[in-house]
Parts: sequence; C-alpha cells; structure tokens
Amino acid sequence: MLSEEELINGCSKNDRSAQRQLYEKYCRRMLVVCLRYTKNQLEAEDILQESFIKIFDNIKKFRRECPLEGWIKRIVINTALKNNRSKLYLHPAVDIEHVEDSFNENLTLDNYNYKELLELIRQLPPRYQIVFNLYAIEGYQHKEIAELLGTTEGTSKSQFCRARGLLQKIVKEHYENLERDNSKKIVKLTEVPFNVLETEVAEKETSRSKRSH
Amino acid sequence: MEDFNKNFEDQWKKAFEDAEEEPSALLWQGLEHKLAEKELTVYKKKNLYLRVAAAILFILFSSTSAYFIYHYTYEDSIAHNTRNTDSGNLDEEKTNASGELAPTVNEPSSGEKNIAAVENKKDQLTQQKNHFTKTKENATVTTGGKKGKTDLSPTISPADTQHEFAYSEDKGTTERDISKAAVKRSRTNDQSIASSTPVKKNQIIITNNLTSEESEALGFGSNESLNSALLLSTLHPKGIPSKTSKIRYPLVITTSFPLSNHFDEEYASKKETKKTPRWYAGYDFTPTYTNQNFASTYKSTPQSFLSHNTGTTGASVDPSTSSRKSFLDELNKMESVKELEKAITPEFSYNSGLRGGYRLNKKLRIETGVNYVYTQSKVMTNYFAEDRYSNDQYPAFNVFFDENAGEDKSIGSYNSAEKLNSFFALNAAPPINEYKTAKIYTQYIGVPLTLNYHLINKRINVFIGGGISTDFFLQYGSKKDESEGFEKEIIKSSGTSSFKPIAFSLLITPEVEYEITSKYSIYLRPMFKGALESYTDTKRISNRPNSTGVGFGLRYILD
Repeated sequence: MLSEEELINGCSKNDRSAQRQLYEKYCRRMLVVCLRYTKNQLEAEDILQESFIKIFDNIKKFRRECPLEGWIKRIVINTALKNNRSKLYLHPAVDIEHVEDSFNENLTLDNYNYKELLELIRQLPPRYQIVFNLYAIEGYQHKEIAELLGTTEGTSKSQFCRARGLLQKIVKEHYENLERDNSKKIVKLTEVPFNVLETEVAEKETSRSKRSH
Repeated sequence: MEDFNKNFEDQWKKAFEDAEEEPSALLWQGLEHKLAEKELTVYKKKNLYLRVAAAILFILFSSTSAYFIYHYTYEDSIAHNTRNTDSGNLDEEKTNASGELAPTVNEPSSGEKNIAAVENKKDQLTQQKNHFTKTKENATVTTGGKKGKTDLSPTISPADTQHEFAYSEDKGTTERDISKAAVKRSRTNDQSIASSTPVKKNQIIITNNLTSEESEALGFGSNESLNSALLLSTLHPKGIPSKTSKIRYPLVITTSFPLSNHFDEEYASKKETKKTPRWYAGYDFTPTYTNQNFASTYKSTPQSFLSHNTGTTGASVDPSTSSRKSFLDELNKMESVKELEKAITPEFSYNSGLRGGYRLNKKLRIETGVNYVYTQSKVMTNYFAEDRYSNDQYPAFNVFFDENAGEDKSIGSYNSAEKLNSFFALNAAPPINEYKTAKIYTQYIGVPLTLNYHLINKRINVFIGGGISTDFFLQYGSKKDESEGFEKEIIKSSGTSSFKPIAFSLLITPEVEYEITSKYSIYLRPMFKGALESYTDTKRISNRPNSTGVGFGLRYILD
C-alpha cells in the first residue's frame, strides 16, 4: 500500500494502480456522504463516480494545505450539490408551518445506525436535507451554506431549524412507536432476524392467552 | 434547549463519522473506463498540437534547406568552375550556336564560308562603321540553332566583309581562330574613354588591358580571369537609332543555352472516409516563381569579345595566324563582363495538371500525375562592352547557344567572315544608359512521383510528401522586345540541343486539405522543387532551376 504522498504523486501521473488504491481507500466513506445527499444508492454511486473523476483530474492541484480526505470530501459534496441543484429548483423550499423543536431529554440516536438515520434524513424535503447535512454533519457555517446554495444566511438558518425540528419530530415519533411496540419485543430490526422475532411474538401471545385462561 | 439541540446535532455527526458503505464492483469498472476515455482525448489533443508543430517545422526546415542548397550549390559551382578552367579542351569545344537566350545576331546564310581578306585596318574600320549605319534596315538575323526561324535582327550582307577575323581555312575543322574582341573596361572617371563614350556610373566596359589593381578594385581578383561565361549578345532588332556618333552593337552570344525550367509538382493526397477509399484523382493549378540558376562551367567561352579589326591597335592576336588556342588564352586573361545570371529575373510562371493517387494504408499514399509547366523569365542588363578598335558598345548578357547545332546555324562558327559579321547588329544600337531586356519562356511536361504521409487526419487534413519529378522538355521561345512575338523552337531530343530531353528534380510538397464532402475536397499545396542535376548536357553551362509556389486544387475520391 502506498503512502498518501505516493498516492498523490501516482495519481498526478495518471498511474492506474495509484488511482485504484486511492479509490479503494476513500470510496466507502465517500459513498456514505453521497448517500446523505441522494435518495437512493444508484444516484449516490453516480455522484461518487463523477467525484472521483474530478479528484483524479485535479489532484495535481492539491496543495497539501489540508488533509487529503477533507479535500476529497469537499469535492464529493460539491458534486452532490451540483447534482441536486436542478432538484432544488424543482423542489423549492416549502414554507411549512412552524415546527417546534421536539424537546425530549430522552431523545437519543444511540439506537440508530447510520442506515436508519439515512432513511430519516431522506424523509426531509431536498433543500432541508442539504442544509442539515451541511451544517450538522459536515460542519459548514451558515454563511458558507448560503454561498453554496445561493441563498442568504438567514434563509440557511431558518431552513436548518426547520430541518432539525422535523428530524426531531420524526425521531420522537419513531421512539414513541418503538415504545408502543416494546411489548412485542421488537428490537432493532437490524439485529434480530425477522423470523425469530415472529416466533417470540407468537410465544408471548400464547403464554398470555394461557394465563388468561 | 440549546444544549439539547447541540447534542442532537452532535449525535448525527457522530453517527456518520466512521460510516462506510461498500460500493458495487461495477463502480470502479465504470470509473476506469471513463478515465481511459478522458486520457485518450487528452492524448489526441496533444498529438494534434504536436503534429501541427511538426508540420510547421518541416515546412520551415525544407524551405530553409532549399534556400541554402540553392545558394550553396549555385555559388559553389560558380567558384568551382572559375577555378577549373577548361580552356585546354579544345577538342570538346563546339561552338555551334543555337537557341540563344537573348536575341542574337547570327550568320544569315548557311553553309557559306567567306574568307575575309585582311587589308588596311583603318579603311576596313571606316567601312564597317558606315555599313553598320546604313544597313540596319535590311539586316536580318537568325538565332543560332534554329532551323529556318524568323529573323530577328538585321543581317549583314555578304559584301560586308570588312571585318577582320582570324579564322581557320580548314573546312570541317572544329578549330577556329577568332580574333580577340577588344573591349575596354573603364570607370566613368576614365576620361580617355568616357570622353568619347558616355557611360553611366554603373556601367563598365571590359578590356583586357586592365591592371591587376584595377581588376582587384572592381572585385574580380587580381591576376585572375573572371568567369568568362558572360557572353555578349546582340539585343536589338532593327530600327534603333543611334544618338551618338558611336554605334553600339550587342555582341554575339556564344555559349550553350540550356535554358530550361523545371516545374514539376506532384502531389495528391486522399483522405480515408468511413470506408477508406483507395483511389483518387484531382486537378490543380500552381503559380510559381523559378530561379534559373545558370552557372558557367567554362571560363573561356569563346567569342566573348570580338574584334572587328584585330590588327589596328596592335592586338596580340594575328588573325591570320593565330590559333584558337591562343585566342582562348587571351580570353583567359581578360576580365569578364558582369555576369548575367543575376540579370535574369523570373516572371509569372505556372504549373497545371492532373493528379492521381493510391492509398497504401492509413498513413501513406503514393501519387503521380501529368503536369504542363510553363515558365517565363526576363533577361536584362545595363552593362555594356566596347570594342576597343571600333569603340562600338554592346549590351552584355549571358546567352547560351546550342553547341551541338549544325555548323551552318551556329553563331560560334567562325569559319565564315560573313557569319562573324552577322554577330553584330547592323542597326543602330540602343542608348547605352538604358536597360535592355529580352524575354524567354519554356514548356515542359512533368511527371511527378511522390510519397505522402498523412500527418493530421480530420476534416482539415495535413500531409507532408516528397519525391521525384521527371521533366520532358518540350519547347522554348524568346523575343527581344514587346513588339515582337516569341520566336519558338522545339528542342529535339536527338542531341541538337543543350537541353537534356529528360531531367529530374526533387520535390517537397506539404499540403493542407479541406473536405467539402466525403467525395470532394479542396487543397492548398506549397511546392518546393530543386533540380537534382544540371538540365544541360553541355560542359559550358549548368542549369539547376529551383522553383517555389503555392497551388490550389480539387480532389475527387473515385471509390
């Protein structure tokens, strides 16, 4: 495995093996980034492919002033935003009713893996999804977000607040559903095979019915 | 509340911090494919720039090389020929004259040999002058080497045999004794001559009496005879009045006349279309500029200067006893008139012809064709030579004649005093301060054969090519002034001409082609052509013409 410097030099010379290694090193993490900005895997992979072409084209210009991963991530995000730009026009920011933050001190995301969280983010309108990703997860400031999206800082802030409120609401509702189904011992779907879960539910009902009798 | 929100956002960030998702295997394959396509596009672009640069460099290199080769071979041959005087090869000398570059005065009659009696030199000179004055109206001349062609200038009647020439009485011999023409060379401040002979500052009159210092000062080198390839020819036909008491007559041209121009171009290229066509044909027209590149190979060309009266001023050559060799020796000591080569200026010339070619593969094609080549040149001078005996002055030219022509047609055949007399125009000479010109033309059929390389293959194509041109000499013509038509002559290949019937040249022919449709295209083609050998087969004069031009043509794909 080549070092980062060797990778950069190799990719600058269009060395295919160096390009492959760079791809293998960062493709998984960057795919998740793409998934956060898209609605499905296929679209995310398209963005990822396009991003890596740009990365290989511009790696000669990489000045090593920041970490390579951060530089790559930025390219991926910009590519995703460019891809979404058309959709943003189709889906302008909806002036939804005021969403209050769903304050719940017990609201935690510990029980969620990133795939479930992805599903939650995808439930947001496109513009909110982007703003939330940029601010909460990528760490962009509202000023930067406004420049990227061609809006104002205030718009970015309000959109983020709404996005956050929506997500909190979704998470809260999700938790409530979880608690409701807790008696059915529905645990994380990703951890228990579905057929086992059904068996447990059936056993529970059988025992309950026996007791009642 | 804010802490809660912050905590909420941090949880999101943390959840995705180390998240990874395996992409599909096809993703890298697709990426690799796109990268390969991109690299190919970049490579093609770079390649295109390199090819264009290579084409430009090639054109510059070939034109520069042609220029230096021309100058080098021309000047080198002059220097070489000047050093290697072939004055001793009398047997090879043939002084039959034909095909003069400029109008010449020739013996009007054929086959006659009159032996001029050498008598009182003074009376003869006077009679000569009188004769020249009054017989201009009746004089006719024929150019040497031509058969029964139109007379161009006045002739000398048989009675005008006052000129004193040294010649051999032997019939059929190649040896001729020619009295040395006494010419003077002077500067404008030479009062002894200038007073009687108005001469322009840039005009010189050649004499064999110049000192070594004088010759050196004039740039000819001391104790060294100049290249005597410069010969004098008669220039003007009848009707030119003399404005002074001096009658000026152009001297006769004596050397071989290999005048020929090569224009050959050859070139046709074809571009492959979807189905890679093989055969193509085309037509093009190329205006050209040709340098004749005459160079004298024989220093002591006979009959550079003639004397009317060799004995009058105590000439060293006794016309009755002097041999040709002694005359030539005398000539070797003389300084030549300013050379003519630089007095020939190309005029509009052109090639026109059909092309045909075959595509060997994607990059190479072979091409041939048939060209009609037409060239024109102008000969002019403002230099004059003066007969030191008669003080007659003659515009000086390099003229070439056919040394293989029949004796009866030759200018250089001095067996007959009458013929010698005809060297001098019997009409009044032009004013000495005027430029005198003559025009000549030549015609060839050229067959080029070239190999072309397809450098850039797009809608606009670039080719580079080179090859050989075989030229078949057809004809040449000359005329002395605008009032006359060209006197034409067809040079036969039977050895009656100094021109070679077939000669070869090198061709360099880059080309830029634009495809109008898949079948038709137009092209521009710069052409550089240089003679591979002399176009003459005489030892006296070499002719290695170089030509350049830019042609345009139309091409059609046959299959």
